[in-house]
Amino acid sequence: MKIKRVFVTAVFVTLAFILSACAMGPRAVGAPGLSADGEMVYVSNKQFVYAVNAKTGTQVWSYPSKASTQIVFYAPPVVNEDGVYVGDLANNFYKLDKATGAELWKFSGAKGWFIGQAAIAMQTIYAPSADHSMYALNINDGSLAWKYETDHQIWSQPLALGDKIIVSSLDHFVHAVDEDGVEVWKTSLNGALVGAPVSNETMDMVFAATIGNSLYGLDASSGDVKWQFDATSGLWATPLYTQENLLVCDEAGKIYSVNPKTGELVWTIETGSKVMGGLLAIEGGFVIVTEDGNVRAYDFERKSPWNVKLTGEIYSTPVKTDENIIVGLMNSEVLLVGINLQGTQVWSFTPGK
Amino acid sequence: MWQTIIVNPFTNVLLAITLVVQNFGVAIILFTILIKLITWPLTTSSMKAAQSMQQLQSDPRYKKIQEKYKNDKEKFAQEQMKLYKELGVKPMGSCLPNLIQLPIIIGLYQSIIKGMAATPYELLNLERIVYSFLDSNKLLPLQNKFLWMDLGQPERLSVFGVQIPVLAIIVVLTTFLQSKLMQPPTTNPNDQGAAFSKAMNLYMPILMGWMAYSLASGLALYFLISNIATIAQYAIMGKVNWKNLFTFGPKPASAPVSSRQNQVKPTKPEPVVIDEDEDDEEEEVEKVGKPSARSMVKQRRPQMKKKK
Repeated sequence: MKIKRVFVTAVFVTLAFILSACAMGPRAVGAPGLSADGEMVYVSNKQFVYAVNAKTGTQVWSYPSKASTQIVFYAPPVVNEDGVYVGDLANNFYKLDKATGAELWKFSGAKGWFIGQAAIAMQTIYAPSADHSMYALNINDGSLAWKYETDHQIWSQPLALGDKIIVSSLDHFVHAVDEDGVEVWKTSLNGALVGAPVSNETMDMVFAATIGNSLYGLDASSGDVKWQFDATSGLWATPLYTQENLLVCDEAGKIYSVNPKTGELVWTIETGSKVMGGLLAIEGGFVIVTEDGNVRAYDFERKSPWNVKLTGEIYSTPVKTDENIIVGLMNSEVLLVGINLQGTQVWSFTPGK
Repeated sequence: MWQTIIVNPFTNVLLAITLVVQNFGVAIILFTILIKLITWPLTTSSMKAAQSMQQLQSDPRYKKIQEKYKNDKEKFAQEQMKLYKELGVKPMGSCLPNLIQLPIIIGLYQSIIKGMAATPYELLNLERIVYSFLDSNKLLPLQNKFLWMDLGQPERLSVFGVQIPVLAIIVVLTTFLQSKLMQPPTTNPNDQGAAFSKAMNLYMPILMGWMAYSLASGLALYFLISNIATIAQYAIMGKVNWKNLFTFGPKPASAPVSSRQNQVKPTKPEPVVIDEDEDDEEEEVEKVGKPSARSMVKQRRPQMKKKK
């Protein structure tokens, strides 16, 4: 009888161990989050943040040094000359040393995951959280200056626009707050905002895309809707404002060029593939990434000088360094691919190799 | 296949309920109860079969076989099967309905996870499975606040700055209650099933509590409602052994009132004659326990006629 009890106990302990191992840690699947400066690319993926040399594709450092089931990164890091700033799914936000990846400070005051990329303006980091708040943190020590609460999760990068911070939340609102975190205006749109708001060079307009198929032009000072453009499917990616062109791509893979002043359609391109990752500005044109692994360049005449087909799926917005375009992949053996501006793949990066 | 047949329809039902009640937490509660109602016949069937098995183990003929072939497991198994057949007891009768329920429960669990879409990638995948008659733009993403909880995060209630995992504690208590209240009475102190149940009483609450503590509170809410609904279901069917609540030592042989109705009727103790001649065993077993066996399966097989 004793043997049986020991056996039953052993079975339960084993089961508890296995199930609790499964239970531990955040349960979420996300696309790798990318950012870059001149020579380096930084990528958040699963349990690590990697710094990769953008010329060679070799890993420079990774954070943390040891994988933990409790720590998962999907928010794209943000970089300045002092450090790399990134949040995780354990509700922590970090500043990492740019050269070594060493942790310089950690903010643990949030109650939700960090899904979206933070923004830097002056000496403040604006970190959007899934706990419905945007946290304004002191860039030097990570201390909380203020937080601004919304009614839903914030997944997109805030936009520092003059003396205002523009942030969109999943409850269909675009919010503008001043440098002290006091609300200046908020405007309700027709759907959740997953992509970040962007602005034009004169900073008098804010462009925001919703998964309710619409692109809006808002007055930056009042939040009033100046115009609304309706696409045929959801707008998941951040719009791109470049060289006086306002571009947006819908989920069905249709690229729209919209007049930024009036919201009128200028032209469209059918990519033929679904798109979530979005658009990247390059000299004389732009690059679009599609879910089925295509990286395609276009000029503003709508001609495509090159297309690279990668093995894997692309859900992340690509980034650009001095020489290369970097693409993050899902369901692929490699995590990153470097493509030069002529459309030739120059390297790939697989963590641990 | 699994996604199309089970997870996607479940997720859409969950979303439809959310659309009606405008609250994902309430939708999880209602959906869990709905699934309990749908699987009610399976639970009933499983419970009856388990009860028959339990009763069989206190049957004199079973005990006799057990005693006689304690050193010959193969022969014991053969005789046991004969007895099952004779009494119309289906040894898989309690497992099968549970196995059928398993995909439903897993589907429910997965649909809740899917509904909580926590990243843009997960939300995109959720949006793509929403049926066209549901307005996904109006519905998504789901609001994850419910009472004091963020349904996408492990639950903690802050009381004077102390973070208390209230939901996990309640899940531990309800899992313990569920195990205790549904534990059938046993007359056999060496009963393996009873030993297993005892271990379950101890480990399951800890296991479920740990999962409720560490997983998103939306799932912990599901565990809690599932426990409460199961206890309620058994209580409605009169199968809850309330006396078990106050029993912490070895189990008494007596059965609770609620389950006596289906218990073997106390028959006149007939002499148990164990014939050493194996050829006569079958006949002898039949002779010894027949009245008891009939009374036992009477409710389950009313068409069974008495042999004389």
